[in-house]
Amino acid sequence: MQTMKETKLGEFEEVLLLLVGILEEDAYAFKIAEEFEAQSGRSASIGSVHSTLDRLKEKGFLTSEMGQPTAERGGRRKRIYTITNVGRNALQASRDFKVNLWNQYPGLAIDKLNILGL
Amino acid sequence: MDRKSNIPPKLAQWLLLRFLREDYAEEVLGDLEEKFNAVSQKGSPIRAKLNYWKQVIQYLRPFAFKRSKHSIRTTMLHHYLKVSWRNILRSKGFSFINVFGLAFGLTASVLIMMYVLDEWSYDKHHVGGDRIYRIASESDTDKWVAVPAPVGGAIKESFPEVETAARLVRIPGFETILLKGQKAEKQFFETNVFYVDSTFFDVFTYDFLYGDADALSKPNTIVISDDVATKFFGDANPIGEPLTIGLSFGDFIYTVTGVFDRERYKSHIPANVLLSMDNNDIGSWVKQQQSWIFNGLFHTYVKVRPGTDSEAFERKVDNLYQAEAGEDLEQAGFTKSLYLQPMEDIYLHSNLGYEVASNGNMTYLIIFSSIALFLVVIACVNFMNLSTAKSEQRAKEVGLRKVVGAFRSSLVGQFMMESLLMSGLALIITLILLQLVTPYFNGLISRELSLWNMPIVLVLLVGLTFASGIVSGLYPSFYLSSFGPAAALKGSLKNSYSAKAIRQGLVVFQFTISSILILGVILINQQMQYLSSQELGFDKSHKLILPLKTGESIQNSELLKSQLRSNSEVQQMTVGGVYPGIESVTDMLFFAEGKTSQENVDIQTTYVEGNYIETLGIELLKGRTFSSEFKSDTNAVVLNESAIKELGYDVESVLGKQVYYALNGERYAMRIIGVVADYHFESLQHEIEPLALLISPAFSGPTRYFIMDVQSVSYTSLVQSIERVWDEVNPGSPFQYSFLDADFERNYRKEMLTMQLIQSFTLIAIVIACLGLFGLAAFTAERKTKEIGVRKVLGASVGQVVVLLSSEFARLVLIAVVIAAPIAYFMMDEWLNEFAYRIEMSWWVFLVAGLIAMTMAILTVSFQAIKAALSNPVKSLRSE
Repeated sequence: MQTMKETKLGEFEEVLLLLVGILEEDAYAFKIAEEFEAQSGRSASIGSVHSTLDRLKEKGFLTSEMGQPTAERGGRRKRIYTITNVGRNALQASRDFKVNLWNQYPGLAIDKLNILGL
Repeated sequence: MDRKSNIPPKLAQWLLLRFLREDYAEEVLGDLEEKFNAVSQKGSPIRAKLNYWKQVIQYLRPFAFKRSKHSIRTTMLHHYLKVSWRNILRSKGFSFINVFGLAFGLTASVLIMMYVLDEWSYDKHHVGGDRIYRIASESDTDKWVAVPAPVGGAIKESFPEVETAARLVRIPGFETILLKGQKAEKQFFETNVFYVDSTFFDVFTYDFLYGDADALSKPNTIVISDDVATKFFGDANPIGEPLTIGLSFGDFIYTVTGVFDRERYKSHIPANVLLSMDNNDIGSWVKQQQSWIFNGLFHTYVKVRPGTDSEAFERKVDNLYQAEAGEDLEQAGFTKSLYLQPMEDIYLHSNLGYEVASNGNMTYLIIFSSIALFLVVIACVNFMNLSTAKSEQRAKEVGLRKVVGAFRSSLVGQFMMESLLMSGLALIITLILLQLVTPYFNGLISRELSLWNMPIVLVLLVGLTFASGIVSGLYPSFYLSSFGPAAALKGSLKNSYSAKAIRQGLVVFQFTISSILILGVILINQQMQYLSSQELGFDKSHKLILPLKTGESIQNSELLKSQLRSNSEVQQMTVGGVYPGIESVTDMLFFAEGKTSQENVDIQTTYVEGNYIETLGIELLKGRTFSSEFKSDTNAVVLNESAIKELGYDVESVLGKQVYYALNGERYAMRIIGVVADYHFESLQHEIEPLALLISPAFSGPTRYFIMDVQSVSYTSLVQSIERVWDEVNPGSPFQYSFLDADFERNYRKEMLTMQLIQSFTLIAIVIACLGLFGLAAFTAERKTKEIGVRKVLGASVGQVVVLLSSEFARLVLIAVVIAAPIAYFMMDEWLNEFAYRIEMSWWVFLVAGLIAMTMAILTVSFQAIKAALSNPVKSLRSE
C-alpha cells in the first residue's frame, strides 16, 4: 500500500517535476517558482514550491545537492534538484495514463489538453 | 535606489530563522533574497519588502519547521525541568529554606511597597495640581499653614497670574459636628467637616457622583461624601435634600448640592463634609474677619496660570502681605512672612502648625522603602548564597555531563532552569501569602490596599522574582560550567576561594542590614518608652471626656454636674475649652507691667471653668485656682511657669501683678492669681509653651469639653450610668465620650504604627537572614563531615567541633555589627531629631544589638554544628 501512495503524483507535483527537468542546472526553488509563474501565469510562493519539492524528494522522485553560491543570493548556496529515474518513470506513467484517456476522449483532444494538468 | 533599502527586512529574516529548520536556512534565505532582488529591480523597494514578508509567511508550513517534538532543544528543556525538579526534591530542607526565604522577603516588601505607593498617591489627581500652592506663614516662633481671612481674596484681586483661589477654614473642635436628617432618629456625628469657599472645586478635583464643581456656588449648601450620603439617604439621589447641622450656638439648615466619591482620590484634605463658607452659622463671623494679622485660620490655596514663576510669585505674595499687614504687625511687635507650599508636596512634606489633618511623613516613607529594599536584597542574597553553595556539590554532575558531551550552553541552561523554577515557586508562594496576609496588614494600617489594584507592584514583584532567579542562576551556571571536565570530576572546585569570599561578603552584608534594623527597633522602642514615661505635669489616667457639641449640652453643663454629683465614682468635674492632648490654637500677645505692647510674649490661652486645675491634677505652685467666691476672677489669670519666665516675672513675687493685652488699640489688664507648673497641654512632639488659663468669657472659644476625674471598678458600667444621666439632661444631643489618656496616645499613633511595622519587618528580615545562615551552616557541616570525623577520632570534644564550625560565622557577624553601628547611629539620630523630647543613644544599645545579632547567628549555626559534632565518626568515615 505504501508504494502506491508514494508513486501517486498530484497535479502541482507533476508540473514541478516537469519544471525541474526543464530547468536542469537551474532547478532550485526560486527559479522553479519563477518559471512556474512565467509559464502558467499563476503565482506560487517559494515556500509552497519548496514544500512540494521537499515532498517529491521524500517520495524519491527528486534528489538534491547544494550548488554554488552567487552574489544575488547574498553569497548563499542553492539547493539544485535533479529528477531521479523513479521520478522520470512516474512522469512517463502519468503522461501515458493521460494520453491513453485522451485517446478515448471524443474529438478536439489537443485544445483541451492545455487546460487540464493545471 | 540606495543600498540600505535594497536589503531584505531584518525582522522578517529573524522571524524566519526562529521557526525554519537550520538545515534549510541557507538555501531559503538565498532563494528569498534572489526573489527580493528580482522584485526590487522590477518595482519599488517597499513592494519588495512586502513581498519578502509574504514569502516568509508562506514558509509557515510543517515541512519547514524545526523538528519541534523531537528536537534536541525541547528534549533538553524537558530534561532540565525533570532534573531541576528532582534536585529540588532531593534536598527538601534546602529547597524549603531557599524558596520560603525568598517568598517571605518578597511578601513583606510587597506589603511595604503597597503602603508606600498609597502614601505617594495623595493629591496626585488634581487637574493642574502642580500649579496649586498653599499660602503658609512663618513667624519668629513657628510655621503655620493657614493665614488670616483677607489674604486669599487680596492675592486673587492683585495678581493676574492667579487663575483661581479658595479658602478652607477648619475651626478647631468643629471638625466633628452633629449632622441631622429630617427624621429625628437620623443624626450622626460626622468627622472631617470643613467650611470652604465656593471656588473650592475650581482649585481641587473631586469625583462627583451627584452634582458638579458648581455645587457650593449658593449659600448654605453642603457637599457630602458617598458614605455620609448613604447613611442619610440610602441609595437615593440626595440633591436638594435638607441636612441640619447642630452647633453649640444653634441648628442650621443646609441643602445638599453634591456627593463625591471619597475613596476614589486621596488628599491631604480628608473631607467627609464640605460646607459653604457663605452661611448662616459662621458666615457672618467669616465676613467680619478683616484683620490681616489675627485669626490665621484660613487654609488658602491658589491655582496659578501655567508658566508662572513660583519664586517670583512667592515674593509678590509676601510683599503684598507686608504692605497690607506691616503696620499692624509692627504695632503688635510681631513679624510674619508668607511663603508658598506646593500643594502636591503637602501630604508627605508638611508637618507644621495647624495642618488640615494629620499628614504623612516622608522620613517614615524613606525608612519603609529602605526596609522593603533591604528585605528584597536579603532574600535574594540568601537565594543566591544557598544556590551557589549547593551547586558546588554538583561539580561531579557537571564533570560527567561534560564528559558525555554537554555543551557549556546546556549546562548554563540546566542551572538557569533550576534557579528560575525555584524563583517561580517562590512567586507562587508569595502570591498565596499576600492573599492571606493583606487583610491583616490593611487592618493594621487602616487602609484598603490590594495588590490587584496596583499593577506596578505586581509587575515589580514578578520582575524581582525572576531577576533574582536569573542572578542567582548566573553564578553556578557560568562558574561551574567553565571548568574542564577533568577538574570538575576530580572535585577540585572545593578550593574556589573567590566563591567563598563572595559568600562571606554576602553574609556580612545581610547581617549588617539585620543589625541596623535591630538597632533601629531598640532605639524606637526606647524613644516611645521615654515619651510615654515623660512627666506630663498632669494626671492623664481615669479622665473621662464628654464633648459638648450642641447648644443644649453647653447650657445644661451645670445641670449635668449637679446630677452627676450623686455618683460616688465621679470625683471631680469641670468644663474647659480644650483638654491636654488635643490641639490648642488660641493665643494672645501679653505684656508685663512696665513694658510696651510691642515687648510682648505669645501665650497660648485656654478657657476653663472652676475646678479645671484640680480635676486634671495640675500642680499649683503659687497662689490659688479660680473660685466662684471671687467675683473679680473674670479678670484673673493663672499662668504656667514658662509664661512667668517669658514675661520676665519671678514665680515667688508674681502674685497680684498684672499682665496686659492690646486689642484694637485698647489695653486690657488681667491679674495673676496663681502659677501652675509646666504641663504638656499638647502632645510631646511640642515643647511646652507659655500658657494662660482664663475664665473670662472673652477667651471662650466655640468648643467645650466636660471633663471628669473618675474612679471605678467597671468603667463600662460607669459610662453607661453617665450616659443615662446625659440622655435625661440632653435629650437632643447624642452621647459621645472618650478617655483622655487614649486621646493623648492618639498623637503618637503614627509613631506607634511605624514602630509596629518596623518591628515586624525587622523580625522577618532577621528570620530570613538566619534561614540563610542555617542553610550555609548545614552546607559547611556537610562538607566538613570527614574532617569532623577525623578530628573526633583523634579525640576532639563536641565543644571543640562546635567552636570550629561556628567561629567562622561568628567572625562574619562581628564584622557586620561593626559596620552597622555607625550607619544606624546616623539614621536614628535623624529620626530622633523629629522629637522635642528625645533620648540620647548610649553605647550599650549598640552592644546589645550586636549581642542579639551574634546570638541569633550562633544559635542558628550551632544547631547545625552540634548536629555535625554529635554524629558518629564511624558513619562519616566509613564511606571512604
